[in-house]
Amino acid sequence: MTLTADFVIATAVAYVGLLFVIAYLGDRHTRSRSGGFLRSPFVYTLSISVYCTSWTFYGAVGTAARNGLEYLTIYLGPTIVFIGWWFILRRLVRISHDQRITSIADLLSSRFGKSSTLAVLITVLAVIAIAPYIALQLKAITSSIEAIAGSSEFGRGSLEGWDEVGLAFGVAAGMAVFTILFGTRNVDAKEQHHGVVAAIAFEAVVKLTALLAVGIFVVYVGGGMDAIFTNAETAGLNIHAGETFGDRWISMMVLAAAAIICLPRQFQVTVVENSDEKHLRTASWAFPAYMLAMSLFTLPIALFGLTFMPVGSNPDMFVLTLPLAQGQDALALFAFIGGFSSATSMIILESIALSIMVSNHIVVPIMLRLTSGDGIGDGQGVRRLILNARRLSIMLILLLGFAYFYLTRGSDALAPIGLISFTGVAQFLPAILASLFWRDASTKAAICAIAVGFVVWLWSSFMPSFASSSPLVATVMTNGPWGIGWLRPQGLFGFDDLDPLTHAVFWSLFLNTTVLILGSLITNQSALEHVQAALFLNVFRRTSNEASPLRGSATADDLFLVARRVLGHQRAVALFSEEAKQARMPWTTLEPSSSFIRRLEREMAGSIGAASAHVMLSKVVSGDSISLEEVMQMADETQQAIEYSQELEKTSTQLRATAEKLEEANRQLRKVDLQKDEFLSQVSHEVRTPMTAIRAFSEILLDEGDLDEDSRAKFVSTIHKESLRLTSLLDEILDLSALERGERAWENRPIDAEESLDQALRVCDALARQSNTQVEIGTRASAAYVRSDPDRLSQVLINLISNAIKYNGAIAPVVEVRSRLKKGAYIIEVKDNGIGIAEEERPRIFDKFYRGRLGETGPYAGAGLGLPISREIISRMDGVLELVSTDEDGACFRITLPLITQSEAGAAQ
Amino acid sequence: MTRRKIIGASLFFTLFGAMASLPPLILLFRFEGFVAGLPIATLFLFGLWVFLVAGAAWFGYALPRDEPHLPPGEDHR
Repeated sequence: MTLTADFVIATAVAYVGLLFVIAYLGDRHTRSRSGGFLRSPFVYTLSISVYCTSWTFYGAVGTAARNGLEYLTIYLGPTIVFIGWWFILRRLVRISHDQRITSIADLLSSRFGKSSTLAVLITVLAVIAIAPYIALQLKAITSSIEAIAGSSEFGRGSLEGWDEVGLAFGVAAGMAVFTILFGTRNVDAKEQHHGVVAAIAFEAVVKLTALLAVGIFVVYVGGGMDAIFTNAETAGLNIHAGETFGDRWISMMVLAAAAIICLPRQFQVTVVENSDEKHLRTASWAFPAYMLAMSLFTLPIALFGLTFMPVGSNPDMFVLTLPLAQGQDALALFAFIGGFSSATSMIILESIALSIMVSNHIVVPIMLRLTSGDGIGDGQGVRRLILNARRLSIMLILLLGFAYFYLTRGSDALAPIGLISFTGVAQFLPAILASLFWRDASTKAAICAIAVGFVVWLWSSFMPSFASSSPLVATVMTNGPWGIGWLRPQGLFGFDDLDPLTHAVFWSLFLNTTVLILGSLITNQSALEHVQAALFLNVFRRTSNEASPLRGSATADDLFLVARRVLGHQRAVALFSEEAKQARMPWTTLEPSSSFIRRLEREMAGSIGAASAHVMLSKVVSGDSISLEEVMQMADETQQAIEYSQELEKTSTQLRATAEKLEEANRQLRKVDLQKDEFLSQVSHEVRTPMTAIRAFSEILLDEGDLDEDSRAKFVSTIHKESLRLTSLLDEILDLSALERGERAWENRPIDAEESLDQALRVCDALARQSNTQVEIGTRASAAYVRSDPDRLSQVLINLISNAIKYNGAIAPVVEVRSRLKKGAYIIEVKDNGIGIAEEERPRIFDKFYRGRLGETGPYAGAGLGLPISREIISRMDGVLELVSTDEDGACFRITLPLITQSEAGAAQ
Repeated sequence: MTRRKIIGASLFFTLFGAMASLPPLILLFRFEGFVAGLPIATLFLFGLWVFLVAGAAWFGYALPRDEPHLPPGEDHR
């Protein structure tokens, strides 16, 4: 097979025809069914790969040949953005679905209070910034046709007489016709073009296989990857990274990451054409994988081309010229089709995306202003006008691209042209990030920021590209305007040492971001901006009743008129019928609810953009937008409601606390009541025993008259004894209750406690002799001054010692009494060698009326009040009476009293 | 792993990808040498790329699928 220019052009035209068929089938396929295969995540991913244009196909090899690994930045940047899809892309897609966003200008204008100024600014910037990118594609197609024609033995064929410029013009004109036929057949409600996407996905497959085929062929011819690298090194080429990873590397990474979000066509395929948010999940790895496959053979092709091809051949065309040089005409044709694919897909989508922006944000608003909303035309008027505006803007865009190509035809490399476009669209990035994450970003600041970035870009990046064709620009480049040195386009403020690209990226983005931040801090937002900012920020926090930016009343007729003009008769009728059905009202009496007006606005925004839809509806809906005062009032009411509810909460907490306290008091009362009952029943029981005895004996004395004197005396003595016991019991009870109520007051005064102990020992001496108990006096403190009452202390000690004697129970009973001073305390211990107190009795020994086993049965049965009284007395002296456990037999009671200071003791003496 | 942790891990992975492909980390692989006939810097960048693709595939599978509808005022992210 022999390749001629004519044959190649014919193949290209046939290929375009094939694309038409695919787009047509795609459209029909989605219309008849729910989309099926065409709405799969892989078609979505393939359509995103429109990012890989002829810059990737041809230009990357050129970059690799000139600057080594640098070409990878263009793909690594987007890779980072896609693996972080959760944080930026997902938000963009969700917001755009919710708000029916149609383009990047629409997104920003919608966020910044539906500002039409901002939308116009972004549209103008985008159209200008994309011109170099379109020129790049024209240049690539032209160069590839020239490359084939140049190598053909049959000469230029019918291209004879066409120079490069004429050829480029022909290509641009062809592309314009092609795109108009392709992309502007209808105005879709959501601006989704399924047929186009199908064709783009097909092209993505074609360009990938073509590039891989050339790559594999080159590696095969070059004798393997390692051989290519080794040969390149022997040929003196620098194949190591060296100085690659410098400031230029960073700027290109940033630019590429920004471009994948900000390029109008990328926004179109990734966000607007997205039919299902889940597709991002697949695209997040599949798109980086696609780019990886596209770049796999770039470096080998470049290195092999540099070693194999004659010196001076254009490295941008290696993908085409290497197969041609090897005589592989079929492969060369395939490579040409691949390159053609990548260029056409870019041109088609970019001009569709831009034409939507131009018609929605420039043409429709002007038309609205001119007609003041009334004479918009008949039913199809707006739609026809929009389509014509789009056709015209496609021609304009391609013309601009061609103009740029014409003016800069002196430069030869592809990649630098693309980077100029990237820097231009990157100016949208600060505003986009602010719209996603910063509530306070204001419209005025966004407009100023983008304008500043735009101007710096025009000056330091766009204008220098004309230096080769315009002597004036060349002079400004070297000397600065009017000789002002610090304004030189590539040395602003004296930054001469930076790489020109880094210089432009740094200054434009730095000034852009600074103006955005500072501007937002010093300006205020309008009510509508406020509402839109909240909608954007809270996109994942859907509430059913979002605030309506448009309120008020409008008749259904007015609304229908507007809707029909924009959406077309059929869609408008469908919308209104549905609403009428829901409201259960006939058409004519339908009163449009605010939610319906909102829905209508969204539907219309899908066709003509948010700002224009808002303007159109505002004209028929009276009451227009919420005033700032209303918003403030609403905020005030909310604030009041919040405060009121906080107060309620506080009061209820207090009530709860009070209730808890009351409950606790009630519990205490019940406990005390129970104790009182217990006490009464015990006292009655104790009193009853002696009373029974007294009653029984006195009855005998009364009834039996013939009792002898002895018995009578015995009975009277028993009655007397029991009465004494009763009295002493009652005394004890009175004493204890008086002590417990704090009535029995005495004054503690400094005394020598040892004296009280001596007295107690003397009192108990008789009792000890009586019961044959040996009282041992252990170690004694010499003198111990405590604050106490000597009689009461003696009473306690007597009680303890007599208990020890009475309830001893040992064969040779011994009671030991000892005292000592320890750490500021005076301790007296009374210990016996009896059977002691059983473990289970210990906790109860100080309870009222509790008597130990011996006390209950023995000859000295007491009332069981001695120990509780003693403990009460000691505690009134700030001391402790306790039962201590010892290893030896018997019980040991210990009294601990705090010692007083020396000076007080002196006073006592 | 909880929902929040997976999202956190995804953010870290993205930042790691950015750090690894920018100076100063990338300068670690600048020295001149060959592994399997390929320059080390080239091999590193492609290796990193493959790793990022694999990681992204895992996160695409693991990141939460549902969008819980919380009442307004509670940020669930």
